[in-house]
Amino acid sequence: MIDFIRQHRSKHPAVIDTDRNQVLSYETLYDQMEQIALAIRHLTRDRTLVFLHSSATSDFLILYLACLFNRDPVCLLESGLLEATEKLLAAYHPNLVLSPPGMSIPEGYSDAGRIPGTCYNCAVPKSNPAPQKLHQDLALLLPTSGTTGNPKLVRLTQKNLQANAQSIAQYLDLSPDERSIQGLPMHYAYGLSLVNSHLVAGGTIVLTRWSFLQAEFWRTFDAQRCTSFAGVPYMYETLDRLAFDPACHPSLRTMTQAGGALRPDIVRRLGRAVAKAGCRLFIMYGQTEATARISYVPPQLLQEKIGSIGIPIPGGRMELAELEATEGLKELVYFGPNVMMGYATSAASLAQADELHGKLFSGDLARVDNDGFFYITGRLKRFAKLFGRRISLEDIEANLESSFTVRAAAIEADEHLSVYIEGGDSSDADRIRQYLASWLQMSPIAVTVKPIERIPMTCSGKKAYPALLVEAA
Amino acid sequence: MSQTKLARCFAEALGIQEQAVTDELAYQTIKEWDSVRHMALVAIIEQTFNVMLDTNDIIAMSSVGKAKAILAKYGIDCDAA
Repeated sequence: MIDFIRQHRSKHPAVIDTDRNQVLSYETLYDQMEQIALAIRHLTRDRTLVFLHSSATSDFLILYLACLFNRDPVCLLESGLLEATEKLLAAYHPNLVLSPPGMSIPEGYSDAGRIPGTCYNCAVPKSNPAPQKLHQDLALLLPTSGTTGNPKLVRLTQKNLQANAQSIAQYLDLSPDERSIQGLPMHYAYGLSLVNSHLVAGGTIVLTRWSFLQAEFWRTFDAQRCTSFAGVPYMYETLDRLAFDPACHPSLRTMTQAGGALRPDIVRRLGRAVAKAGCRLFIMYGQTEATARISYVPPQLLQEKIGSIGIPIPGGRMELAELEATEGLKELVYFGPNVMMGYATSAASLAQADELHGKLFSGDLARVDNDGFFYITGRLKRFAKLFGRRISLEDIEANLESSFTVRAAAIEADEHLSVYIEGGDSSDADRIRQYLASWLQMSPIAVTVKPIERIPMTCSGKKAYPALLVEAA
Repeated sequence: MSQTKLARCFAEALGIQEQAVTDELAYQTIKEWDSVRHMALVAIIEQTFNVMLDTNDIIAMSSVGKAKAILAKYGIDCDAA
């Protein structure tokens, strides 16, 4: 990644922070990153684990790159999730925590002032930190379930980042005149992949604090002559509801969608509008475990392949593996240089080498058609994808069972979270609903909590989720 | 009464207390009012007042006061007793 920025060193804009009216050329970006990397090294002395809270600013981007430059493994976190951050701090004890203004110093840490030239504050452990064993290849850590604070992190290397960024730049055909608006948070794998792929292509990243729902966002998009927009399903559903017309944005060339399945009727409608405006729509699939991207649908085949996750990205390969004891069901397996080293669950696992060797069992059930296009048909893992966020359903159950005197079973259906509780009445259900919505930062409308006499169980003593899914439908 | 109805919409969609719903409450000034919950808010307002908001209304509805002004266009008086 860093090599690319070095190669692209020129007056060409790398980052435009529109809220600050600031344009950073590749040259300036490189110089600032180098200086900040030095400042961090001055603070930490040795290679160290860094927690970095995200914000839609050039400071965040430079700090992220400075950590890569220093080869400091960096964990990217959503800002403002205090409980979740505390759990991760307790599991990993980083020697440096970087936060944008307005965030408090975590317990057990003391304020070490500003990182010069940025608005970020740093916090260091109060007591002398124990030396950490960090694998030499470890570069980036991303949470698997950010809002619940699950300590399970995805371990990624610089090679993972670079390989995935290059594949993306290749199939999207990115060039230095690409300008991508950052409407997705950068701590999120998809959001970060926009940054990485544009940096390897020598393109420009446009940052804004506005949300895609606001007129200011699209005014910025037009004023900066942005060429692409990236969104997760709920964003496209919203744009569809708002009768978004790609033809109204003359500089727009490409729209990309990932982060879950988008409703087929919207894909069809948007696909037509985008083609009419002379633009391209990429429907894509990926996982944090594969850095970000795994597959995409070539835009010229979109209308024929509605509902498909497409074909593997350049350098990747997809296969279907038979599952034991389940007839006809097959799991999607991905092979590629962007497959993570493995998961981390505690500080000790940061020393571990690559465990997967480029082979990832996706946890998704799939089929493939005669043209080699893949379709997701189900999910083996117990997590929900709600509004672009991945949330562990097991975390939800565990939290409710320890916070309330109930047994809980959580399922997801159509961007809706349904929780069944055994041992509570309707007033408990209402309290739990408000609690969940606030904890997961969702609208209570997207959460249902139902008291149930008994949670159905399978004969092997597990919660019988299929029965609940039938009940929810 | 409509005022309470509107306050209830905000409280329900955003997961906040009804008392916190004042005319000045604005989009993105509290963490509960983000783009995800804004669309839930639109849905519940449409359902409650039996209206269909158009694109500009959804985007312009950036505070409780503005929501009232927008509903007034549809002949709904939120401040009426």
